[in-house]
Amino acid sequence: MPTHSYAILSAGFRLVLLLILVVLLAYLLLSWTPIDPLNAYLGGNVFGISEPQKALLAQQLSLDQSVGQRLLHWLSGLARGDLGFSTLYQQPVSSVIATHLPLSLLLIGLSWVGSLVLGYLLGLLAGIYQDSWLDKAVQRFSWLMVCMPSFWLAMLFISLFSIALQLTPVCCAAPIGMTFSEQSVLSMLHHLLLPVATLTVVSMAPIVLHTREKVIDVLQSDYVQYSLAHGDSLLKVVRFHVIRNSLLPAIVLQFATFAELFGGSLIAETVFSFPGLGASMVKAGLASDTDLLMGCTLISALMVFSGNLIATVLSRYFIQEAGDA
Amino acid sequence: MRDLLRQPSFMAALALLCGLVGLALLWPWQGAELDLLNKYQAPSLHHLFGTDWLGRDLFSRSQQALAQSLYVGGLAVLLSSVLSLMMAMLAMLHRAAAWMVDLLVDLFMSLPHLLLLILLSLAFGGAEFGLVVAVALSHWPKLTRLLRFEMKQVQSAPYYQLAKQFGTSPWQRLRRHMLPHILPQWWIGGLLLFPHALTHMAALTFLGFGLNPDSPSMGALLAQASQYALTGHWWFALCPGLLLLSCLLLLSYVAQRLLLGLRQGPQTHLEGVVKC
Repeated sequence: MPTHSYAILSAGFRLVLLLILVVLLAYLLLSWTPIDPLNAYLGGNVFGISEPQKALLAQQLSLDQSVGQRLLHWLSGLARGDLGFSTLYQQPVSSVIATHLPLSLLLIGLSWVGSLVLGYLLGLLAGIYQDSWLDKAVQRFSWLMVCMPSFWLAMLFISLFSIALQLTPVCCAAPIGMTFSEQSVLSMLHHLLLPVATLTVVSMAPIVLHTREKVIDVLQSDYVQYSLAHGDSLLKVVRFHVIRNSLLPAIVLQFATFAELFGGSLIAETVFSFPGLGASMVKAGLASDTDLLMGCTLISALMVFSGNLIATVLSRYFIQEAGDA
Repeated sequence: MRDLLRQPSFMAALALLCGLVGLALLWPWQGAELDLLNKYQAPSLHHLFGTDWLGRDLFSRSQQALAQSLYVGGLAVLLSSVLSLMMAMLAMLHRAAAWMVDLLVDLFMSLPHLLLLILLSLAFGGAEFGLVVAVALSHWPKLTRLLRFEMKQVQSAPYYQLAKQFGTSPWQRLRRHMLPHILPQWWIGGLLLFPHALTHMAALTFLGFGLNPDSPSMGALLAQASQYALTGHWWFALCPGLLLLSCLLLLSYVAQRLLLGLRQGPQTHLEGVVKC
């Protein structure tokens, strides 16, 4: 239908506009920071070099230019696929991202699927058995998880499972002296277990509560009541009506809340010393590594935007389906 | 609202919350005295939360930290709610203004929240000032969106349209018809922001972008505790964290019940009467 493609087009246009604005905002904020970039580059040793050296360095780092000029320079680099140079890792930003992003994507992807599956199942059960003890327990649990500071939960997991019970490794993505891909699959899963569990549990609450509401709605609808009145079993009703009407909204919601998962990965990766992009981002922020932080911001904005775009398209498709049916 | 005050669970939560906050604000000891003979003491009756690596009483330090977090968080939430109300009212003025406000809301919500907080706190130079500004500038969009939604509903309600057709001035319409409906939503919305702001502040300080790690705040206390989690000193993290968590849970519970009470309050009846 033309109206739907028009709606998707205008939503897409708005998303692109927002993406450009986000990049501008992030660049302005970073160039506004009162931290002296020269000092940050020299690791706090700004008095160790002479004035002419300082001027030369400022020129090399293009600090003598205005914010607008630097932004133009950065944008023209971006157009050529050059994201700048990371002073923290002493590598081009693109290669830092290339080494750290896959690990983050794996962590986020697993938690995304985990919180979708677990959250949907809990929400489904709570909705079907509304007002039972199970429903109340699930609701209390999700309320607890909304309030839970994720870094504290991660610390508790380490204290309990890694230190007290010695079931899981204390840190990192691989045994000492190995890279992530060198280890066996079992060892990979072993190292991923706690970070993924933390992220999954912390980001599960919205999907549980949303699914519960939706399931209760569907169960109270006329067609389900009709179907039940004709003697269809609850199992059949759930399979034919409830899941069909509640799974897609849950997936849409999960795409739309992608940003929170990404934010959570910053914390989980830092606490577990997991060498992903989130931990690099925190390090870059603490070391005022502007180029790296900017590159990471761009990547995270892109990921959030693709999540939002998919959510928009899916929900439009969903509305269209419902309209045609 | 009055029904709410008769519910024992709500009153118990409110009393507990007041007790926790009062204790934190009025607790007389700083917890700064070193006692090297009594370091690494597990929780006992004498030291409820145990002692840290310098023998300082963790209970006193936690109370100090909670008071500090509540103060800074309260300031940030206050600023943030005022900002969101102003933005929502600005959006009422003109269609262009509404478009701008909606765009700004979307813009601020399209970065991961924690990343936005990091960028803002870097831009404003970290420390207490940077933290307050960062939290204030990153938490307004959600409340603004809610207020915009409510305001649009009021604007399309018959009584508001009638008031407009009777020729009342915009200021009078705002004061007599809009604000009485919006203000309760606004302050409960602000209250709902409070636990979020506290969590985000603690997380930011934990990562090293917020408050000075030497001054006792919840984030700093837990950041220091994370170094000791590996050596088996579980109470460093567990006890202050539990205090923070119970405070957050109580706050969100009270705010949610207030919101529920408001939704079932006289406003909805009024709406029904007007519609008939």
